[in-house]
Amino acid sequence: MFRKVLVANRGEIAVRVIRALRELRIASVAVYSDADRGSLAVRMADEAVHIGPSPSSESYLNIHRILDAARRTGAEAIHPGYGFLSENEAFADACEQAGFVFIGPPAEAIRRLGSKTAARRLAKAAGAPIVPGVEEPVRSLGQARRVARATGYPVLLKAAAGGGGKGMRRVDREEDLEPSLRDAASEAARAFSSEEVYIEKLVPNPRHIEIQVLGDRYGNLIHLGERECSIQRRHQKVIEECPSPVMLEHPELRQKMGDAALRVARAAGYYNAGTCEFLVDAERNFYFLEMNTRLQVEHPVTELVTGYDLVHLQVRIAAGEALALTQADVRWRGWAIECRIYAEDPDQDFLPSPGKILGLSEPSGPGIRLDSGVYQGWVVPMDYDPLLAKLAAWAQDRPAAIQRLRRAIGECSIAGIRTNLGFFRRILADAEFQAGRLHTGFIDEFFARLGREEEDVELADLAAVLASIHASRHRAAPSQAAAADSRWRASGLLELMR
Amino acid sequence: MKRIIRLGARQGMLDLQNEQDQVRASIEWNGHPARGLSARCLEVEPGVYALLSGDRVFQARVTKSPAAWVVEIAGRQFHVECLDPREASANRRGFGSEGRQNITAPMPGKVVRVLVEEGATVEQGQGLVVVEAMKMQNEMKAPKSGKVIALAARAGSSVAAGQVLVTLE
Repeated sequence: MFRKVLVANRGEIAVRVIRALRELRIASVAVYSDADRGSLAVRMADEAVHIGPSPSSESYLNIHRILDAARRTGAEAIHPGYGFLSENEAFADACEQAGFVFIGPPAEAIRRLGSKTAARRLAKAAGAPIVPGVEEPVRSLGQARRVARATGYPVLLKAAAGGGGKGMRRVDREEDLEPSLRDAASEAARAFSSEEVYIEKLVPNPRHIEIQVLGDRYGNLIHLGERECSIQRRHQKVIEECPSPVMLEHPELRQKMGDAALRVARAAGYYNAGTCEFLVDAERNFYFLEMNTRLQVEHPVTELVTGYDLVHLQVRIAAGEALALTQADVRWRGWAIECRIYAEDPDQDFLPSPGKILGLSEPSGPGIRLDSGVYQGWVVPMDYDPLLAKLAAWAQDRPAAIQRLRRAIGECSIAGIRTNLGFFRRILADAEFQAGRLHTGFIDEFFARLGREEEDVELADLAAVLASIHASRHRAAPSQAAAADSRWRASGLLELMR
Repeated sequence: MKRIIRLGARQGMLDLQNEQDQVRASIEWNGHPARGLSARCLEVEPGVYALLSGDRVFQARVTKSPAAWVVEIAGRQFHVECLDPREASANRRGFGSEGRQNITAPMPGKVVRVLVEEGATVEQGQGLVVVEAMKMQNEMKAPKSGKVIALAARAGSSVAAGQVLVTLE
């Protein structure tokens, strides 16, 4: 086993990995940018190395700096987390070249699966169903028109190297194709340094269900079942659960999808943890979308239901251990649901809301798991993804898990920045959600159905009273405070003085 | 004490007596009839209140934002501005003047694209400036039709939340 591992990431996932390393009695090395000097991950790690300024291109994406940090601290392996360099084959290669074990799949598997178009070809050849469309990136507007016409509108434009909805555009009519193509390509170029875009048929109101795959270096490959991740906004998941509500009535689907995922993983020569994403339509036809060659954000729900620690397993596999479990050992017990707490404002179209966390109450109690990367007083930087924490609840069945998660959300409070907690409170109370009728258009439909939440008059009265009492006790009202001690306040003052 | 309260679109007058944790208040929103309210407010941690309204328990937290007090109660967030009427009359300013309108950055970030030129006539809903923060791009749209009379946004420059990007008339 390793003695020391470097965590090439930040935020909640760096904390998650550091915790696992400590449990395995492995020393941890955090790396940090200027903005993250005081981050929770840096506070929790055994060692920490500064790797550059705040922009991720100069820090968390800087392969050279990260390898230097690993050399300097004598780390033996590098855990990339998710995002940043986690799916970068050049990084995986560079780690191994420099003598560090990359805790993830082989670089060759990342290369085979890294481009969505290549992954679709591979999946098709391996016998996994894929969404109708082209496996090749589009070369010209003319070709795009022909393909879109042949597939039939609406179509989706997707970044070949992409993920997380970046470089993705829905196109309903041919006249929208040209501008959408341009937007998608430039967004893809910015996000993934590749402007390759491909076209596929849009499956109406699909579920997004993914299969967790796990393999060792000796050809043992198993799946840990599915996660349902249909609740998305802007193609970014916000609520995930395990099992999928579909499996209640159609348990055979897990085996079918699991087999398809294993076929893809095997064809790619995959080992370590990975996830095959599928779209599932109303008739429960499923289509392979892509394989994420890393640990997923939402891995905790699988851990809660299967009882396995995916990060422990990742480290053990990377250290050369054989999988100690077989497919027959994997059991799914109870239900887990997770919500991703983002620094964003659901009332303003989910705009990011960076800034200082002035107050924080963390939920706890039976069946609750909080994977957080923040603390009271922490300034959420504007430079990175706005994920603050993941809150997950486990219970014996889905209704109980939902109620437990609602209870925990009620205990949770984050002040100073806007978060989407109130949004989860509403979604989890929704009858459609509780009935498990989920699809990727759920959030848009939800807002169209219910509109904004009505203001509670009694609470508004109490809020007015509390604000007045608090203001009189703490004298200076925010707008009258003399010292402009933050750019937030400075900009607020500017706003007021206009 | 008396306070002028602004909460979203509503404005009201609050008359409040506070003795230790016992609070009696009368609140009058935008000409609605005044309502009485009595509660016990105990500040259990700095900014955190254990509230009893009748026998009902509420947990609440009050924090500062640049322009208002943010009250979080029962999972809801309220942005409350409260002004002492004596001070308010001294520095009154007009709200919601419709003629000239500033389009401001809703979050700290970076201007990635400027889509209009100074002097241009724009339609309501037309994109003006694209601001990027936390890996997300946000297109600022014209809230009304009009003319761009000032253009402060420069592509590539950093902006603070609330900073004026475009002025329309």
